[in-house]
Amino acid sequence: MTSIKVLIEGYAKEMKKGWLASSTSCLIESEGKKIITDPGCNREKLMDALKKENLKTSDIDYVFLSHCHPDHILLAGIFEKSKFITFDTNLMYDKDLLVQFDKHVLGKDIEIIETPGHVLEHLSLLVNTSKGKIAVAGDVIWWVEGERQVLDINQKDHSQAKGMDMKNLIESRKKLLSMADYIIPGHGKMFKVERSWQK
Amino acid sequence: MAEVKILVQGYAKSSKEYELASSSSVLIKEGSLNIVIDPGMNKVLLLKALKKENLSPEKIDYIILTHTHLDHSMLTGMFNKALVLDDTSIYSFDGKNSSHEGKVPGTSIKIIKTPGHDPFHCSVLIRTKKYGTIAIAGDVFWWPDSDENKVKKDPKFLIALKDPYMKDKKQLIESRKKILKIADWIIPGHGKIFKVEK
Repeated sequence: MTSIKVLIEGYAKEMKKGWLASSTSCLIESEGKKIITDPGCNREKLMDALKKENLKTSDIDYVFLSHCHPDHILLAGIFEKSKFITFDTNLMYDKDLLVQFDKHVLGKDIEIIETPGHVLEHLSLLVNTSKGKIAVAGDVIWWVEGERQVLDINQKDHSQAKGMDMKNLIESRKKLLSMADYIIPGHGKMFKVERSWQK
Repeated sequence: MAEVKILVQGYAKSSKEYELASSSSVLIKEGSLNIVIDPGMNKVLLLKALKKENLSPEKIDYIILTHTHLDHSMLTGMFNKALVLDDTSIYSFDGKNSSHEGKVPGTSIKIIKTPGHDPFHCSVLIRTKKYGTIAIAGDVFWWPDSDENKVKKDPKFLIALKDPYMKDKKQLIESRKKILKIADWIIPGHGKIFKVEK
């Protein structure tokens, strides 16, 4: 059976100058493979979390990166044996080899979904577990610290990065809500999808 | 004065099923600081090249990413003591980031915005005694290995280079013109360093 665990709950705090931010990182285990999603940029937290799971960086088979922002990807390179699934023209990286991937390359219980909007190249995961379908949303949905975490599909994107497209973002949010029972946001707490939101 | 060394010459080979690529990785030494631009994703080549310079990853103070495509940025996490710079910001591995002023702090190394291949693309400029201004251009200029001998180094040809992955053609052309004007030598993202014909 496929399982998913939040290793680090992502955070994002706007400072006077800049941000204090790192992404939500999850560990997925499926078909004997170990997958890390969005390793983020907080080295201490990530290493502590791996240690708690009794894992070494070399135990990870795949790293999934939802998109290219540094607060999601800077630590990707510490997983020395991993293959990398990315946004980047949807190529899988294996050392210096780049190949196209199928949406079920991570396993039959895990679907890779295109979710543009926050940036043009953005991917999410839908993981089929015994608890239901759990979406690893990346920054399709995310909150800043202190904000009330109530879903509003029209909510503006806090970063307003280049390449942000509100229309695409709303479509991607709708897509995840229609498919998932639970959503793990890029920064913030996991939440349950209420049926009434899916209309 | 700064010293510039190409650690790995960027390459890009392709067949029908796959591509094989890693970016040009460049070391700049200025004063007591060591800066690596685009660590790429070939760990074996990068570590070997650093060793030749008597360096290990923890001796690197700054990493500059011309952009975050993984063939340029993948190995960033290996440099556990480094701060990371992109087109606008400087990041540390405790999750902090703030904006920079177009320079690597404490050095003469300039970071200029060069969008087009990617909207967040930047290039690095450094003045040296021997070669004048060197631009580490990332994928503002790049070509597959098979084209190495076909690429003419005159500005007209270089401005018109095809880039199948570009996001904005107009911006890319502007960025190319900007670099050709400033630089005496250019290190492309994938391909051999070349002198700019003025």
